[in-house]
Amino acid sequence: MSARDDEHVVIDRLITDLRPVRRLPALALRLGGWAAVMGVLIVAAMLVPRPDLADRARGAGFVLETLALGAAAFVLGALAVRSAEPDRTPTRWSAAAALSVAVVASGIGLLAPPPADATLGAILARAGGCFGSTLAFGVGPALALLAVVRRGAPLAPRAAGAYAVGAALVLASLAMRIHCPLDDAGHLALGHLLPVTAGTLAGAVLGGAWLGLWRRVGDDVSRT
Amino acid sequence: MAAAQAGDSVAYRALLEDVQPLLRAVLRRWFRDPEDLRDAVQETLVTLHRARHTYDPSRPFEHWLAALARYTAADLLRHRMRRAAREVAFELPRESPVAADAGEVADLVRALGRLPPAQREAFAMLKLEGLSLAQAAARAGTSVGALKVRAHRAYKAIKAVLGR
Repeated sequence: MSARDDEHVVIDRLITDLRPVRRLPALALRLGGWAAVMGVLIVAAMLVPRPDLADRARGAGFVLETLALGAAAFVLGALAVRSAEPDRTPTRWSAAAALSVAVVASGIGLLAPPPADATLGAILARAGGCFGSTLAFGVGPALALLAVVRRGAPLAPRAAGAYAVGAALVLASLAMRIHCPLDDAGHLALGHLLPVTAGTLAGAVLGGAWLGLWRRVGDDVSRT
Repeated sequence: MAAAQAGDSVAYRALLEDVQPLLRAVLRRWFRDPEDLRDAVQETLVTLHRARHTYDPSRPFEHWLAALARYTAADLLRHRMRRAAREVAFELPRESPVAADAGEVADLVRALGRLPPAQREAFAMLKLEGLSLAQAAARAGTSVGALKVRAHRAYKAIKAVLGR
């Protein structure tokens, strides 16, 4: 069989498998959806705010930190949403820019001085609850973003998984800053930042594996 | 493409025929061997099929297609590298019994003669000239991974002909 014959066999198979498809919703609509999810979670956190939220909101550092966390969550979510379309796959530069915003946002909180009783045991005891709460806050948004990306055809599934789960957990971290009254660096590192980092890595591995199922090289076309 | 998204098989066939020159042009950067290039074009057509719902008619089709081709090429190369790495142990032993008798030598020569030129060259460089993978890849003007794949295909074909 010649190369040309081979290509005709493949084309015939694809034609046989052809069905009408539903296009992805417009990018603006998907981004609007992510902004809405962010709004819902922030409002939910505001319903059970830290007791000193009004005081903290007058400080430039706290405002800057929360704004940066919000920006990082939105930008990472936008990268995840864009990952669903082959010609909108984020570049390394845009990923690096989004990561930088997330690192700066987290870094602002880590500049806080440690409390007087900052023993490792005390920090760990206080961080455990926030670690779990950050993950719990992030589960819903992460699943929503992963589902949106999976509906498309992510060409870089691991990166897309990391963006989606990272965005959700940075958002959860923002919600926790509104909810949790503890500001010391050790607590923020272990209770707020660690779940974001660990979850993002898990998102790259597990989410990436799931998001990549649509195009396993060598699989049969009929799997689609 | 928009018509193909709606299920128009005539438009889809025309599209799949028309995109092949562009795909070859894009993929030739990674696949110089005609057989590898053909595989890559076919794999990209399959990827296009699976991702066809993601094309936005308001955006340039060529960019969408080129993105699919680039990532499919990267995937194929990664896939082949992994497979080649797994199958290195499959290489024929250094003390090959090919010289055991004249009949077997004749069989081997015949098997080599049936191989595509790129595979024959890979086999000859690695097994007859004793070049390293890196040296052979450099001489063939290809990557180590691609050379391993060619060599592996050559071993398989020779094994089949020699009946072992």
